[in-house]
Amino acid sequence: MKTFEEKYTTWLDGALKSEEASAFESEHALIIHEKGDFLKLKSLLRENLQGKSLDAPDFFNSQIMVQIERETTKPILV
Amino acid sequence: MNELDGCTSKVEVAYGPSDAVESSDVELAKRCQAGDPNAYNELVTRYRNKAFTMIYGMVQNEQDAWDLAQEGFLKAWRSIRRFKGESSFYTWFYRIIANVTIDSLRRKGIHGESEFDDRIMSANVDPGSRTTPSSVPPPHEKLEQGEIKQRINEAMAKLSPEHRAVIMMKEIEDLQYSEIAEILKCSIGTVMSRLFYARKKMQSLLRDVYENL
Repeated sequence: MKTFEEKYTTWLDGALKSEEASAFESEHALIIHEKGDFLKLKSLLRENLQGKSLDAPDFFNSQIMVQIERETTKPILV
Repeated sequence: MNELDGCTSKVEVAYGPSDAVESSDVELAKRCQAGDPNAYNELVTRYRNKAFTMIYGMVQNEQDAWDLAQEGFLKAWRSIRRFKGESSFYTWFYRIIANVTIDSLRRKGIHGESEFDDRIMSANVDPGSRTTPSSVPPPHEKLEQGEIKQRINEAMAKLSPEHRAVIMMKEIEDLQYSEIAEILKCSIGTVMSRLFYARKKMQSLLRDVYENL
């Protein structure tokens, strides 16, 4: 059986089946407004946290490749 | 047949099968397993921005995010032979960078504030309860973009590493509960519970910001 937190989260994400969502909403009528509140938060986070670009992307790759080369190059025994 | 044959990557799904020139993640991973660093360079190019976004969202510092992304990609290369194709390369790789980032935050002693901590909260939450009011008074004027980013950074900094991870994976990356559970190696119920408390906390800290936009 789902806990309240689990039901609330799936309801908020619109992932409850329609009958379950209706039952949840009639059982917890006071929280229906919270969906709109949550969507505003989600939109704020997406606008500000999404698509952060890496500075100097080629240098980023090259640093990784240098380290890989260093680790895969075996020392030559004389 | 190679154990990775038959697996489809998210990149293929995203761009469609007509994009035949681009190798799939699985093809690249197979070449990496055979020791081809050029194939790995391509995977790095493919996922570096996504990885950086995810890590930056969690650590809120560009230099730390850069270093952790480097560490994550190197760790993935060293472990590439363990990639069996049971999940997409993306999911497998995300597990590595999430762990690298969470471990780093834990080493710095970041555990988040106890309010809305899913480890200590009772399951009997009052359904009608409002989140606690923000300590920052509502502004009379609209916030500037820089201030908004600052407030979001401060709010994220108050979450535990695990709560930061679920916020980034769900709200920004749009991953499914099952994918997040697989990446974080926890149950779907735990993912939902963490989301519940992380969202409540973010709402309490940022309500005055999104109400005034």
